Amino acid sequence: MAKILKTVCPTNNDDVDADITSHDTYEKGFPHNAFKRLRDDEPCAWIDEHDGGKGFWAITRYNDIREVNGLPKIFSSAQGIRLEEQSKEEFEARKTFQETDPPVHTRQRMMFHRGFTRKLVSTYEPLIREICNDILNDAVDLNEVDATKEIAKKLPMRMLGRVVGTPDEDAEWLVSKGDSMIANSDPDFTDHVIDKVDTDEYRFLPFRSPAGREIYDYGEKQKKLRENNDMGDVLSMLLQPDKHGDTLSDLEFKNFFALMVAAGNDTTRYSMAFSMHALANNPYIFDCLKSSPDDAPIWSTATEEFIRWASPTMHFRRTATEDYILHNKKIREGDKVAVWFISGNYDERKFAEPFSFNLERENNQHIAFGQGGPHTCLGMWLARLEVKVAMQELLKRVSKIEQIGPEKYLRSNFIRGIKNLPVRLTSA
Amino acid sequence: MALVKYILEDSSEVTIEAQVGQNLMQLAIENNVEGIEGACGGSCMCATCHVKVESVNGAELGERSEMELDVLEMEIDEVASNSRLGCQIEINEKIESITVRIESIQSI
Repeated sequence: MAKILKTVCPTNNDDVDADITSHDTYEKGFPHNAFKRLRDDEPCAWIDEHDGGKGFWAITRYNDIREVNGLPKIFSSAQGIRLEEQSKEEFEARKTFQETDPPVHTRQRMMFHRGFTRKLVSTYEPLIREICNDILNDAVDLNEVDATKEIAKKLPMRMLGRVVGTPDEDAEWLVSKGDSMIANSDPDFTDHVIDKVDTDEYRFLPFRSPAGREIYDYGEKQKKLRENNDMGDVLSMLLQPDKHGDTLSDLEFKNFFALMVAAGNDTTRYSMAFSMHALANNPYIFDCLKSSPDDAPIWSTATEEFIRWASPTMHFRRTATEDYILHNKKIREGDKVAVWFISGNYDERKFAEPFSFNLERENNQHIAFGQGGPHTCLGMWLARLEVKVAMQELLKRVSKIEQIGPEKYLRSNFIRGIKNLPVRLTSA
Repeated sequence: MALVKYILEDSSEVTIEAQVGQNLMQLAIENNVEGIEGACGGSCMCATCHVKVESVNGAELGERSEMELDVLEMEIDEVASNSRLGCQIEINEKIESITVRIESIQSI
C-alpha cells in the first residue's frame, strides 16, 4: 500500500491574487493558490515590482524551470541571482561563484566541490548523530519547545561548523550573522530590514548587510589560522591548490565563507522545521517513520519528500542574454527571469498529487536544490544527510509530537521558512 | 532512434528505445530503470548515474569532459577507462545501440 497522506495546501495563505513580490505575502504562508493560478493560466508571467525593481518574468511550471535552468548561456546568473537591482560596483564586490556562468563558474565550483562530495559527506554520519544527541536530549527534556529555535536552528550550524572546521562555541554567533544576512527582509532577524530602512552604506557587503563585514573578518581569521597549517578540515582543504595548481583569491574565499554561513544555515533549518511540522500534524507519517529502522529504504524516499515539501529556496533569478520565446511570450535580452523552484515542486503536471505527502514517492525528481543546472546546490548531500539523521534521532527520543500553537513564517520572498513552531515533545 | 541496453547490478538486462537528444540518465529515470537516481538532475555533479560503457555501435562516444572526469574521480573509488556519467552521454543520430553496466552510487 502506498504510504500517502493527503494534505491540501500546507499553508494558511489561500489568496489566489497574492502579490508574489511582497515579503509580507510570505509571512502569511506560501501562496500556493496564487502560484497554481500562474501555472495554469500564465506559466510565463510578467510581474511588476513595487520597490523600484524593473519587473521580472515568473517561470512556474516544472518543465519550463528545468528548461531555463539548463540554459545558462541564455539565462545567465552573471548579472545577479536575486531580484534586487544592483549597480555594477555592488555586484562585483559581493559576487560569489553563484553569480557566474560556465566556464568561469565551473572552475570555482569544482574547487569547492572537493569538500562536499557524496563520498566525503557520507563519512560525517556518526558525527552528525553525535551532535543530534545533546541538542535533541535538551529539547525533549524541555517538553514544550519552539522546535525551530531549539532543534532546527541549532543543528545545521553546529553540523556545518564541525565539518568545515569552525569551533562549536562560535556556532550561535555564526547563526545570528547568517540570519541577519539571508533573512535581511525579516525584522525578527535584522535591524536593517532591506525594504524598510536605508542600507545604502552596506551595498558592497554580502546581502547588503552589516553582518557581512563581521563574517568577512571572521572568515579572514579562519583563513589565517590555516596558513601553513593543515587542520584536516574542509576549510583547510579548500585553501589547498586544486589539481591544476589554482587557488582561491582572498575575495573569493571571503565571499564563499559568507555564502556558506548564510546558505548552509537557514535552508537546512527550514527543511527540518517543515519536516517536524509534517510529523507533528500527521500521526500516520510519524508512525510509519518511527517504526522504520535507520537503513530502511523509506528513509531515503521520505527525506526527498521532506525536502520537496519544504522547498526552502523559493526562487533564483537569471537574466536573459538574448531574446527567447516561452509560451508565446517574448522574454527580451536584459529581462530578469525568476525560476520558482517551489512552484515546480508542486506542479501537478510533474508530480502525482503534489499536495499529498507521499513517504514512498517514486522518482521524486524535485528541484529544491536547483537540480538540472550548473548551480545545483553544493551542499545537497550534507542537507539530505542532516535532515534524515535529525528526524531519525528525534523519532528515537519521542513517542509523540504535537503542535501546540500556530507556526510563524519568515518574512521573505526568497527563503521559505517556519521561524517558530511550538510543539510538545513526549519522551519515548 | 537508438537501442540502449542497461545491465543492472543483479546482471538482469533492460533494453529501451531512445530518441535523439535523450541522455542515459534521463532515459533510465523515465523508464524506472533500477540503480540510476540522477540526484543532481543531470548537471554533472554527482555519480548516482555512473555507468560503464560495454559497447557502442554506429559511432564513437566523445571524450569525457574535464568536469565529468573530476566528478568521477571525487566520487568513485576506481574510475575505469569506460566509466561515464549517464547524464553526459547523449544519444545522437549516429548511435545505433549502446550497452552500459550500471555501477552508480546510491543517494544518502
